[in-house]
Amino acid sequence: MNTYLDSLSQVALYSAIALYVAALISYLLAATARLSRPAPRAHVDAAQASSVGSVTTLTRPAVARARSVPQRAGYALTVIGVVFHLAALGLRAAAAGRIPWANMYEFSVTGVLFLILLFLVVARRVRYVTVLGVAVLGGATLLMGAAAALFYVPAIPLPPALQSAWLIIHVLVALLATAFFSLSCLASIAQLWSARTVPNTPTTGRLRRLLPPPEDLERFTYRLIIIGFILWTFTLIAGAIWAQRAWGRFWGWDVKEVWTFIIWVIYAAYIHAKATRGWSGRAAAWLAIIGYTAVIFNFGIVNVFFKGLHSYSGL
Amino acid sequence: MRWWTGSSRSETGQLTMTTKTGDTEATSVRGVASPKLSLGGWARWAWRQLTSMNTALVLLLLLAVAAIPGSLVPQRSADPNGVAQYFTRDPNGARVLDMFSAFDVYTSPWFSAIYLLLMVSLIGCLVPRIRYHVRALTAPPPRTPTNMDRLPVHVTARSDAALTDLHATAWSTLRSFRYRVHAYPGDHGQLSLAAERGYLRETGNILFHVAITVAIIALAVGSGLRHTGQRVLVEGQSFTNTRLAYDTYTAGPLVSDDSLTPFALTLDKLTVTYVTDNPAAFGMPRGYDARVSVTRPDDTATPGTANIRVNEPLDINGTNIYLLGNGYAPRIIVKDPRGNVVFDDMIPFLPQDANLTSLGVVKVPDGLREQIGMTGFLYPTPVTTRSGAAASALPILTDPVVTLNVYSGDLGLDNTTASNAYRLDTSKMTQLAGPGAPAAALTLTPGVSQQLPDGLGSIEISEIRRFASFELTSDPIQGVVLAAALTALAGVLAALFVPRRRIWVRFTPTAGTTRIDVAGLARGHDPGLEAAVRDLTARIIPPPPPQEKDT
Amino acid sequence: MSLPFARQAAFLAAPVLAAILLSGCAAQPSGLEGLASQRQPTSALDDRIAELPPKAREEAIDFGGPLDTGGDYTSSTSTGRVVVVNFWYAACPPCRVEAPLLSAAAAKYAAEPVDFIGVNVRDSADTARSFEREFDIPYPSILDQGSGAVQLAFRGKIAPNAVPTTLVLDRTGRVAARVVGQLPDQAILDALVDRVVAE
Repeated sequence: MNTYLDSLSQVALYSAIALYVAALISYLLAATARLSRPAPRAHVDAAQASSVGSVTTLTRPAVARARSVPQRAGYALTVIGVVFHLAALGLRAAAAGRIPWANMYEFSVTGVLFLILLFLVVARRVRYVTVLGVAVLGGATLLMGAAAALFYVPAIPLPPALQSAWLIIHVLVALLATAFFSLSCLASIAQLWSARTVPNTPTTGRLRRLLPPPEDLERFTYRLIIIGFILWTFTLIAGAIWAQRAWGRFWGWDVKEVWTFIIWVIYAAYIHAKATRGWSGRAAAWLAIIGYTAVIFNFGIVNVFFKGLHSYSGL
Repeated sequence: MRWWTGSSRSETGQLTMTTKTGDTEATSVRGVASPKLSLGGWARWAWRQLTSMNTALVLLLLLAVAAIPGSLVPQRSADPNGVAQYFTRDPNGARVLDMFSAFDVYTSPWFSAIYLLLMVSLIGCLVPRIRYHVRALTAPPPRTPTNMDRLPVHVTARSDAALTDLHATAWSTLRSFRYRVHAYPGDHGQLSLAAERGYLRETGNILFHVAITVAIIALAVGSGLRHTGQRVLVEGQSFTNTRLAYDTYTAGPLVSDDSLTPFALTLDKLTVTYVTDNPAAFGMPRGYDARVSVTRPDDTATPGTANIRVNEPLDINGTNIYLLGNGYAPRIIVKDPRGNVVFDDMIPFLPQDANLTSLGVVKVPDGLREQIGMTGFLYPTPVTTRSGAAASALPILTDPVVTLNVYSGDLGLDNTTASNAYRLDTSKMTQLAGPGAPAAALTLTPGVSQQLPDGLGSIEISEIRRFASFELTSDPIQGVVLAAALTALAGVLAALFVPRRRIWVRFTPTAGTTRIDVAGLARGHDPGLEAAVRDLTARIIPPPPPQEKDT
Repeated sequence: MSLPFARQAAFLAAPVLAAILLSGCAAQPSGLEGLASQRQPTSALDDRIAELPPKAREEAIDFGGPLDTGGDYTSSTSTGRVVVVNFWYAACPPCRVEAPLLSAAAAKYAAEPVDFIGVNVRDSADTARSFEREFDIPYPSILDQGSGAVQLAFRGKIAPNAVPTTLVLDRTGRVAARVVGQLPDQAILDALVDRVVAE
């Protein structure tokens, strides 16, 4: 029974990956369609034109753009992909008889699901859905493929150390926070790219037209990171409470704890940077990227290669 | 690109700089003549620098970077075995690292310096901010600025309604949005309202930083009150909560020996259940359950028996008992050549892998012709690997085997130097059985007696019991730290999500109509400011009669 | 006014150095030990010798338990006599070093109203008896491994905190003197016992 459900789960997962790839292609088509149009001055709107001292009247020109067919197709394919993705997780949970986030494979699958769900929510509100879609779906497909290829382990019950309600809380919130941080890193990279004044080649210059202005991306990054930061703070606290319950001390500078702390400090520095003159803009974007590097290190390297109290990678 | 090539400062403090662009050099005279600072002036300047955001930022990043080495090098606090292994693998390198406190990064002077400096910076910044905020909490919102164009959001509208009506509507609308409102009269019949809300943002910010400071101080104080120790207990053995009964024990300087809660704990049985229905995880432990009997002479209310499991510690009056590890302990009986029992003890064999291949040390100092020491392995489910080596296939006991190398001589126990019960010092001993010795290593199965080499006697394993490794800690400060952490969480939530806004509404009566200016200013990032201002304006202006149309 | 970065860094270094120097005095926090724990060399603790005048002594202690030579011991059988209680186990190095001292002391006070009793905190009867034969210990020991009752009975301000610990109980059963750690020499034990006998 276990292996049967586990195989079904894998089938569902691969289907989800295929659908995400299809959605990615859709968004790429949308991008090429946009690029082949002559360069519009769509970036210039009242908010950017004059930074301080703008007087606006009650009505302002709305830059509403209807979603093109490839964009809508991409969104729909992603939604269907999410359904299969959820099914994969559910089947995995049934196969193992427990909550489906207890080893690297399951961490990755759940984490990517959260990222895609976040994308679906954000995509309804922003104008630059194409670029966002390409970035998120591209990254998600790679991550899920890597997880399926490198991290897969058969579905087994929870080891005694993980048999606690805190598993549900601590890991869930950590993965949610990671989704927010992932998106913020993509936005920061886009911000730096968008802010480049000198294009390398005519092609990259035209690619940059797909991007919104850097100020928009900076604001977007900020909103993502403050949510991620709250969630990460909660992860830290929940982890400490659980550690006290399981190991008798709430903080022991174990490798995983150290890196969780480092990540927290870097994002705290980001928030401080946004409030400090001279550190906004580029510097803040780089801080966000550095913070995410630490997140990846914590997730991909520490989980897998470092032995310690925290090694539940299952590998 | 301009390069700075030189500078000089005159007596009056004027700075002359030369710069080079390509091949041309230019001189510029910069700066006002700056006054010379006294020592107190420099101290003030240094303090300003220390408590500035810039410094806090740099220190935060420095803290993050400084924490990294502690994750790459084993730490004494988290992995003392790893440190010991590092020293054996690379003694010179280890000594160099130790000089820089690389094995104790988080208690090292340089790491402490960073967070202490950060705390000083934090407190130095926080105190004036608290004072300022307390004043702001009771002060009215600031005057309406004359030139509203300089504010980030400024909306204009006109209305035919009466000035007093507009004023009243504006006041009540602002109040309904929980603004603190204050009226400022202006010239030429102007009326303006100044409104402010979101003091909670700064309150949360201050609360967060205060809570962090409290947590750090509590941790420092708490480490003095904390005591922790470990004890390995075989089924049937008991532990009394006194210092002499611990295998390892560390305590902060404020802990006195008689502050240990008196109790005795006996391990009745350690039950381990295994996974048998999942082929991918066959033999994996499903759960550990240590049933213990507790005797508390001072308190008969404590239950006589309790169960300690992973994630379910036992709390006896503030001392928490955690089930950390487990393994097997064979009961080894040694007899002299005449058949008298001279040694009978349960020796915990420490697990070396997930299948509980375990390593044990037996020391028999008295009763035989010579002192003997034995080291060996226990294989719960013995198998032979393809290379011919012995191993265990499962952590469950199925025809277990214990192999022992035997040494005789001086165990090194008859002097006052420290001895480790889990390590055998063979420097003063000769090997009698095992690889490289005259006799082969002893292979024992439970219930079968074997002869010791050299006619020393006989040895037998009568049974194999389980042992549990318990961690006993008392940490009175954990409640305070938790409360501080949760307060910090609440504070940061408010500090990041509560919008702090100032709104000004100015009514200027002109011929017949009233011109309404609404402007807004936000503290920090506030994407909703513009929408809020527009929404407010829409609420102040009464709806136009149906036939009129706005553009 | 913004100075060149080098100057700023220099002025930041001074308080950093100060903080480093100050924090070097920070207290050492207790850490989590690994599972392959080592039995702490309990003689590394300070060998404190404490004597309590009669007014400062706590309540009389009732203790007892199974003896390694068979039978039981209860402290009530020693009422009216001075009792020397020695906590030990066989593989404990300082216990082995002080064993001859205790053996000699027991022989010396054999004719006096002094009882010697050992409390073995780790070993079984056979192991304990082997030790007693090896070191010619003429008195038996209570086996406290199974229940820990004797260690529990001796809790209090002047408790056995390490192995070995030697306690001298007065004729009413109250703890009158304690030597934590290995007995430095026999003269100290003799002096302590003599004073309590003389009361």
